[in-house]
Amino acid sequence: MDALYEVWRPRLLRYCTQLLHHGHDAEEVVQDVFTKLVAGGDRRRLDGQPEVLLFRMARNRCIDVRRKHAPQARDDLAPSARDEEPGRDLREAIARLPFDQREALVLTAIDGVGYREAAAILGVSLGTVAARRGAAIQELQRRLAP
Amino acid sequence: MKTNEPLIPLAGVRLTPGGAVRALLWVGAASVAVAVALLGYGLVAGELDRMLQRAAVSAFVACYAIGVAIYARRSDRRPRVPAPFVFAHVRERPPLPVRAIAALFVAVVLGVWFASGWEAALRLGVSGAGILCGMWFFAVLYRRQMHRQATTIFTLYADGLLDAAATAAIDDARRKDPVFDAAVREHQRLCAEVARVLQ
Repeated sequence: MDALYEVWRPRLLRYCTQLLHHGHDAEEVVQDVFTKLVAGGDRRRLDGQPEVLLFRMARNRCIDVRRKHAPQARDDLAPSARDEEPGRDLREAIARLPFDQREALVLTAIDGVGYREAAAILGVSLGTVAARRGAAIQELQRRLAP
Repeated sequence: MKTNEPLIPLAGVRLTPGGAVRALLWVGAASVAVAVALLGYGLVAGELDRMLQRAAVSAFVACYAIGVAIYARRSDRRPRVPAPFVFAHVRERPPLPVRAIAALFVAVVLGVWFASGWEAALRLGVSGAGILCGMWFFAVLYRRQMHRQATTIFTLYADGLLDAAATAAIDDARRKDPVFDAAVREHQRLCAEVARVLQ
């Protein structure tokens, strides 16, 4: 479990931060996920593709949090999205993407999560993941065009 | 992105959204039910002539919807790489779903309900407009589907995950079209930028 935590915690945190636009909430979600896993004690569920289970749990928890707190204030964007930071426009454009496109884009951009894993996490077909990722990139191109 | 992710065979990619196929089948089933109900009402009320026209339009919509759904499912089983010109439209926005809904609404209103209620001289025009709106509805659906299909294959190709045969076919088209080549490079650049920003 420790190794799993070391490897996947930062990736889960990035994913949740992008979905929630809130660093503190994302941290809580990730802690919840690992606490549930430890409390549940069912390690067999982590055999095979642990990332699918972890990201699914995180995603469901993020959706719950979004329902409770929506809409989040823009000031709550992750602390890294400050004015002076390079890539600020891109970060903000990603944050404004529709939810389904954003999560497909963020998931497939995370190390160790491929199309197949993303499809399993989101519960959609592989084609849908590709379509959403492609639509997200096109939308970013439109928004970042001079 | 996962390093060393296995290539994805084009035949394994479902290009038609299941929701759209289900919606088409529902539209088809509803249209069949409306046609049967209209015929039944016509028989009982002795207005078969008047109801026949409405039922025919409804049956036409049903056939078209069910036919498109079956065609889409069959195409998914034997997917093909779209023609290169389709990729040129990937960067354009697909038609909004509201356009399809508007078209369907106008088609149903004109074709099914008003067609036989108006003066005989107008019947043909109104029915024709209804049928045209029905075709408009399916044209919007078709354009959305083509856009989705092209986006899906384009994305898999640009990410380097499409199988060798499909990649070779698209590479060939890319060599001949500098605009397409530029679009692929732009996609790859932005993906790299997104991955860097999200790390």
